[in-house]
Amino acid sequence: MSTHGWTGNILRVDLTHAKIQTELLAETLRLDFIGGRGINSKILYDETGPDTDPLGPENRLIIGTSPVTGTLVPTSSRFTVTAKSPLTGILGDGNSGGFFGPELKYAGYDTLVFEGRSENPVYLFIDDDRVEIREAGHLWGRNTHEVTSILQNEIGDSRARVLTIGQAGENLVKIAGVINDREHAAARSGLGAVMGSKNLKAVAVRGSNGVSVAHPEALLELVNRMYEDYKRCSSYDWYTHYGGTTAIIDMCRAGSAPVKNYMKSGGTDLEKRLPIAHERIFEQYKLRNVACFGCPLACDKWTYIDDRPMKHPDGGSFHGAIWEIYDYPFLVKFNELCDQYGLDLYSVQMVTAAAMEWFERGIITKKDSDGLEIRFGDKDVVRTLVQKIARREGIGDILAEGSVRAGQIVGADPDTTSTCGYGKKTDHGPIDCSAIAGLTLSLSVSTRGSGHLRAVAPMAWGVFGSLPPKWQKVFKDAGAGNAMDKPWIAHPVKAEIATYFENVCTSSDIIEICKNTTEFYYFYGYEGREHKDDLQWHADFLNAVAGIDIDRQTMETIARRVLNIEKAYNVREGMLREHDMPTTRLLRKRVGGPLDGRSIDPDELQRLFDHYYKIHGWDVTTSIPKRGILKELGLDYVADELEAAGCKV
Amino acid sequence: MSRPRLYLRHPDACTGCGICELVCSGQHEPGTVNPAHSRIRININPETGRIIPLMCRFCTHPACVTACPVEALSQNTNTGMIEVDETTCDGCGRCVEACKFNGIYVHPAIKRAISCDLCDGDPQCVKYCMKDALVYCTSEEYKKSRKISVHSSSVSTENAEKTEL
Repeated sequence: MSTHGWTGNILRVDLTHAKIQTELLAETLRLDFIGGRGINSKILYDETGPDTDPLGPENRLIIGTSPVTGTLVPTSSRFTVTAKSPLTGILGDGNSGGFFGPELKYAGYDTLVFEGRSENPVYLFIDDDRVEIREAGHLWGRNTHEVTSILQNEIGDSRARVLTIGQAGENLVKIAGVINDREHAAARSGLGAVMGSKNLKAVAVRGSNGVSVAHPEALLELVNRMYEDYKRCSSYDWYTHYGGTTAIIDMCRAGSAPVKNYMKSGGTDLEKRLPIAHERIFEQYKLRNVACFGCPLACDKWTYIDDRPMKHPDGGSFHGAIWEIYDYPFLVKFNELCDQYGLDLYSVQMVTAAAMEWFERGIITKKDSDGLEIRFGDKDVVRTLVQKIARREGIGDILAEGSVRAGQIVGADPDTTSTCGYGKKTDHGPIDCSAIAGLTLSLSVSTRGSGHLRAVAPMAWGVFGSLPPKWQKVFKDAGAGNAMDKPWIAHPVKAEIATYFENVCTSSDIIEICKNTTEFYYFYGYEGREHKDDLQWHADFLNAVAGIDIDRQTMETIARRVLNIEKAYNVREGMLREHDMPTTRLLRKRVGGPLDGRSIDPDELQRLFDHYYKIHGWDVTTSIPKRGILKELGLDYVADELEAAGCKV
Repeated sequence: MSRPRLYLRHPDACTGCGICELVCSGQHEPGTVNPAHSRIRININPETGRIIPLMCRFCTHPACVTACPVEALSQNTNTGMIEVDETTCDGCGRCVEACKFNGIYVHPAIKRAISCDLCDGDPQCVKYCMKDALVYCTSEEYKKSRKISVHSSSVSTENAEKTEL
């Protein structure tokens, strides 16, 4: 068994019985699932199921790193938090950068698994082999920034890393996230509520052990090669300068930034948005580059508002347009408020914007909202609603259920809650995918529901007006040359491209590196970069660090295995093809903006789903994975289990 | 001319990524990494917005040497570097307390003092810093470059002084 890369330990904490034990990470688990999201999803599948109450003690909260976490592999700071989601009732996970993941490795653990429920609020302190469940009464009710400072002071080490929930998680808000190092969030799927349900306020960790690297010279050579490749990339200079802020305007130009709760077509607000475009922000405000651990790119920014450094929210999540608010300092402060309460920035935007529409339509009135006029464009309303949600106060108690459930409670038309995968009760992000077929498909089929970081690559869909040569060829070879640069056309080739990127994304989550450096996202640089095969990079890095010997094909198989076990998890929860479908507003014809007059043909879209399921070896009618594909991936036991549960595999 | 050492190019140049820490730790103990084993440390203060790399400044009168109760530390008269007698050092941490620049550390695993040795004149942290935040030069060279950058980038003098490590 390899003694490199992996620490070889799973730390299990039973909060009901205050029992802590270290378990060996089995070799089959290592080689078949590698780490991070891979091992997390496997543990979740094995240890929870349809009988598990997401907020019950039987649910697991799993925090996973990979063999390369905490090494010199660029951007290897990420980790995945997984549990059965209280928001959706299916597989839930959130992925975060920052500093916590590497520190967990240095303390000697690859994976951390919580179960049970403590009687009183506690936090877990990990100091190498010394692991203690400590009383956390003094932390309860405090925000994530306060908890981080208090614990670092208590431990007497400003480099101790703290992962915590805010008040939202304590109050079992189903759109609560888990925050580490003040400003990095594993936000999606409501995992903060799972932590809160266990009375677990925080995890503080520091480690003195080294992560062992099997072939340090080979690793340095790979790192040098990757750095050189980064610098060759045509986007290197502007990306390392502007970072994610460019998405504010780019998403608008592509038509994928929603306006007024999707009531207006994405991209119709270009005029209003120009003043908050990245060039203007950089002119008007002082910004400073900040990086996650081990990242040479530093897309993160601190921006100075009222002379105080505050985190600039990642550009993609930066859409005041959803409330028709275009005010840079307000948006930065809104982001900080969500971080402090421990809320999912995306879900809060979705549910508050929907509430504004419900109010406008008279579905909710001042009687329901404690006198609050929930109008579009009102900044005070947004601030008040964020507080109410975090505290589950008044109308906030309903909105805390997430946009789909809240809509059902108030009796709103599902159409007012735009989401891909309505049946999965997913909170969509602020992404208008109407008339963008590939994006609609990718968001819909995501195994955590509407995950924009699971398969979609906006630029590769022709959204930005020009496709990289590689994808031009794919279109031409498929006889779909006329579909290039026409995002509304649901040609089957888009299912194949989605599947390609699904592999890239899944593999990145398994080895826990940032997707910004992959072909998937901004920094994929189809001009300049010479070595763009992400799965090959991932295999090479794993081999150098962990001293194993896998090739590109094996890496792809592992990614498919992980995706299939996640799909099987959701199927076991009763989620089938019908639950993957988007709400109708995302299929309407656009009015104004860059995709004016366009919509996805509904029949064509269904054929796109057909093709996606078919190339996955999943049944086209039900989307259930067939025995053949499960067997091929070594998941026979999953096929048996699904069959026993009455699914036709 | 003074001996070359490490400087911060600009008060906002360091992003806090810690790649220098990883490289340093791997350079001194090949085959294993942990920033807590590094001889350079990044101090990140989200409240003030300051991100500053800390390491040995090779002081003329090093407080760490004076503070050591077992005389395990000495300063090399040629290089200015702090040398640790590993058989004598017991990792008590007095040197860490004495150094007001936070430039010396106790290795948490081997419990011995460690400080920057400039990698025999080829500091690896400088080589791997993608933002070129670290500069390896003499104090004269640094002052000259700073004058140029202060004028061209309108950084306040007060801030610029903070860049000296």
